[in-house]
Amino acid sequence: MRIGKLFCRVTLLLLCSPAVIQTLLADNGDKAAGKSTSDVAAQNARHQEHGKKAAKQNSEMPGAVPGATYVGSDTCKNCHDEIYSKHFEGTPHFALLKGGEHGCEDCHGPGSAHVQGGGDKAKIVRFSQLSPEQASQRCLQCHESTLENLNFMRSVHLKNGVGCLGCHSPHHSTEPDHLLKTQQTQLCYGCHATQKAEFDRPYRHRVDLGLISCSDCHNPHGSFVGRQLRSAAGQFPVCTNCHTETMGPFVFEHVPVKQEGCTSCHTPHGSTNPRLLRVSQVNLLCLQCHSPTASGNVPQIPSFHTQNAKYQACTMCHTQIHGSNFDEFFFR
Amino acid sequence: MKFAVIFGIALLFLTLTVSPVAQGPGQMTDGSPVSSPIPSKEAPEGIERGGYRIQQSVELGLPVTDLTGSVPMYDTLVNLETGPRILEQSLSMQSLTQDGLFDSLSASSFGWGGDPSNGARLRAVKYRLFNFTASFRRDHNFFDYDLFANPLNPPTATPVVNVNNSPHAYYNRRRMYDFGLTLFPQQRFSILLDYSRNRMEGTSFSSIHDGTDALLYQPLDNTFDQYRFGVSWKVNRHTTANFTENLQYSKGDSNDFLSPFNPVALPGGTPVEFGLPWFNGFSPCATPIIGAAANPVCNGYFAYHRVQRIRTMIPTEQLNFQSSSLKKLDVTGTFSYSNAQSTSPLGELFNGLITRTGERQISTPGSHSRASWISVVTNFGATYHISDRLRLVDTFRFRNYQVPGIFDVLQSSLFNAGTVAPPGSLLGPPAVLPGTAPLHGTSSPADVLSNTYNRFLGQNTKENEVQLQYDTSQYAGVNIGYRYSHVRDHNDWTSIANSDIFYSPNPNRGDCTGLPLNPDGSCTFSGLFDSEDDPVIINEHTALAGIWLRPKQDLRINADVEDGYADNVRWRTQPRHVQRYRAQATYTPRAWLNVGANFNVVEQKNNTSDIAYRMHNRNFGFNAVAAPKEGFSFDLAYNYSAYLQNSNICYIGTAAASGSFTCLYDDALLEVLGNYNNHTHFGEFSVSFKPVQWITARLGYSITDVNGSTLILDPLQPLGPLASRFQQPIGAIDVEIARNFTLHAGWNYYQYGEGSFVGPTAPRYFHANVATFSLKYAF
Repeated sequence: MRIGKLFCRVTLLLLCSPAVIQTLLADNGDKAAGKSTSDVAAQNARHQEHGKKAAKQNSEMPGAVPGATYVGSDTCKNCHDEIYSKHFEGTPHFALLKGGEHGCEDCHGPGSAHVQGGGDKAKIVRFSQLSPEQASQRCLQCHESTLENLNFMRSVHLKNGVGCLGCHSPHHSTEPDHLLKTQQTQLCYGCHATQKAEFDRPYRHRVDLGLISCSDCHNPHGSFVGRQLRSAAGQFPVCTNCHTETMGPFVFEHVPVKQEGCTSCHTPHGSTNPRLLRVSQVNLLCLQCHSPTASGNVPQIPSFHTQNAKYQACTMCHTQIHGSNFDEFFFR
Repeated sequence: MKFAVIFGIALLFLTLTVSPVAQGPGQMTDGSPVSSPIPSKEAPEGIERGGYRIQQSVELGLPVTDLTGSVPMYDTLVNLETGPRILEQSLSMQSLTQDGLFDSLSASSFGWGGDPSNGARLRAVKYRLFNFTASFRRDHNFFDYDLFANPLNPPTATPVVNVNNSPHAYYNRRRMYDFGLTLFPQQRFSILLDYSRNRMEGTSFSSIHDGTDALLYQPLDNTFDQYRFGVSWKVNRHTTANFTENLQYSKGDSNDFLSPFNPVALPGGTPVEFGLPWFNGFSPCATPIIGAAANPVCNGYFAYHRVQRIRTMIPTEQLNFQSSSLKKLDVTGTFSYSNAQSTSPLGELFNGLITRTGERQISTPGSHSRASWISVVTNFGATYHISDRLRLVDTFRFRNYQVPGIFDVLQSSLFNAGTVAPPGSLLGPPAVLPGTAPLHGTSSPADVLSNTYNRFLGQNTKENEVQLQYDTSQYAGVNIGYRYSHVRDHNDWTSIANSDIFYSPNPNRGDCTGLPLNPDGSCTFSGLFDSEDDPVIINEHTALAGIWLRPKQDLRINADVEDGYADNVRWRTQPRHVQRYRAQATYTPRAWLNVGANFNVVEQKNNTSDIAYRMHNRNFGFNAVAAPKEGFSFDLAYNYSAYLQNSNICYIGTAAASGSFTCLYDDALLEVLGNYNNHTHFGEFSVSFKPVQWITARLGYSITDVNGSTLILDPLQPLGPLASRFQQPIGAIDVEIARNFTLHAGWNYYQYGEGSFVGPTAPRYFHANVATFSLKYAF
């Protein structure tokens, strides 16, 4: 903890120090002003070199134009100056252009045929003409390697026709991070309107307040767990990442918590019931499992638990209902 | 807390160092209801300085709250109080030259100064060198829904004791700190360093059952630290391997004390706590008050104290890989191993009287528990591209976890002296052995108890899902699939008495019944007294199908269905048959109009006659967002949810619910259909317009209306939230008083009320006006 605090303080101090910022800004300003044409030429040369290497790989991608070769981003800029200067410069992709990669043609494919055809739209990769999977394959050439994205090709989103461009806009993002089309919560609500209603219920996780976000629990790029959920250590429910007191391990586990997960009793987004419970009365929830059956594999209530007396609130006595280290009946 | 303040000050400092300032993307603030998306404002141009495009905003404000009705309910659901705030702050810096320390920096925060939730986020990126993220979130959580864990004491009791606050109320703060640094994110080797802390502390209440149920004051302090180190190796252009080491350490500290609830004086004046439930006839005893004094032959507490110090260490190793190097084949996989170790001593002292056993004092010196989990997870996914449009996707999951635990309990019980009349008395002191013969009844436990509880919980899951996905064109696709899972649950336990000593008199009681006595006249019981081995195997088969359509760029439709069948269940509310139907559509016929509709249905059932479990969650809704002309926009949404969860239950009650019959597997109980049926309507609209260029006005309203029915076994139990309405209208006006300055006045109204009778507790109704005045500076 001490190391963590120290690390954060040093980083924040560095970032926040007026001197650092002033120096930084002045330095950048000078460099911006002094950017020479030879720098641009060198950049183009690097880009074309990279283009040759990538041409073969790009030609194998969906939507590629056969025989086309790379012409460099500056050629694109000649005609597409507005989109280049307003919607490409300043984006993460442009930032990487300096290394000779990720020019316009890395996504849109080699442009020579398009240029020679006088801007023939059929001779350049247009994402609107690709299927979500084909478009996503182009993005994943670079983005598949991260831990976050490695399941995207088999994700529920892609299976339902929502590719990368369903949520991200490389040219027209209004968000500072991740090139999202719009603020994350509103973006998710755009399709998942049911969840919007759930997060407006009296008892809810505070997603609308910005305290947590959808992607804290779900990985929109896919996961191995149902509903694209993330998971906690040991692949136990993601809920325990915040509600750590329910994580255990406990000597006396309340079996459904581990075996079925939190949703056996709770509705995670929001509920009209206190504590996000699935039903309004705790005792009904308990009795729906703790009634005798032929298999008898769940303990049943004792015959003195009169439901119209003090025993109507099971958790008044069974307080440690998620698990206990000291009491098999979850009393302490 | 100190760190949070530093973090907040640092962010604010960062904001102010780069003046002037402006609107950024930030969080919600300005008096809109939480349900209403704020109509998007035009992004400010920002300024260019030092090679960066900078946008910034800060909003200072004063909410003023006027509340009528239940304060606990307001605090539970809203909890916005009067006081000055930094409502919102944001900063965005995008490099124009990519030559500085960072290429992009964004920082935002909200809620500083006393809101129940506040947070701050920072992200700084140098695309080839590092990606640094930091966040701080604080969540003030107040919960006091007075029906929760309430014994619902009847008005016929003598005396009448209403429980007007939830015995499990709490007022906790959760602070979450997250820091992440990825070094060389686009390089062949990249390094991941993460640290996060989650700390929850505060006041909470609980209850303890020893004879009767006493209210406990339970200050909490739980801390969870997580350290993560990872390496990512880009083996080649299409193959990546990642290794992460995750170390988590948890501390859970709690001290439980008796909390005064309704103390009464014994003859002689000594106060005793008779606990929460007051029912004539049995709780805390048949006649708790005799004359004006407490009945000393009653379940009661003089003192209770429990200390818990739970320490858990969880190291987890995880290996991931992804490759699309093989032609037409993408593979991805995960392997993780996690081994948690948890230990906790138990220190507990009870001083009072349990009339059933005659115990006057209980202590557990030296008791200790140990638990662990071992979890092994292997996931593997493969996508084979049969053609450009047709692919086969297979996902295999294997998970095995085991949770063994041991609790060694050493317990000493003291009783009244044998000269006191059974079952004992609060007036008599506990008798200390040797020397005084204790008062032992037939239900009295061992005087000294040494037991070991061994528990084991395990689950082994193998699941495979195969899907055939076909894109008929760039405008449509279909998929069909099949999922099979095999789950083996294992739950077994043994409970062993190491040495339970039953002293005289009456030593042959409980587990010592019929056993020979020791030379000193006591009886010792050793051996197994409880065990079970309970494996369950479940095979589940599920058919899957789906379709997506994008007939036009502005129209997207997708739908999918699942139909699954399981051959066994673990417990009663687990379905044998599951069906899911889901469809949603979004349509943007004009650039200024977006409409959507959704349909989401889950049906579950287990038709076994003694269970008759049935659950459904049927959800339908539509929404629209429109901005037909500049300066005018509106959005509206409606959602209907029907939730049902029914199954037969067995119960005991002095009044039988209508339709009850003798429980099939226990003649002592009654059986009836335990139904829960909830209909929730959600509606919302908001409209934004500019009567003149420099004024923006907003009006909005949202409502969640609930009605339904449920089995009520206790006639004092109100329907509560099952007949409730939560409304949140708003009105707001923004006036641009000068370049970059906006004055804001907002009004939020919150109203929560329940439609049924209140029950033997305080009403749960409130309405509140929250007026917010703020000044925003943005560029």
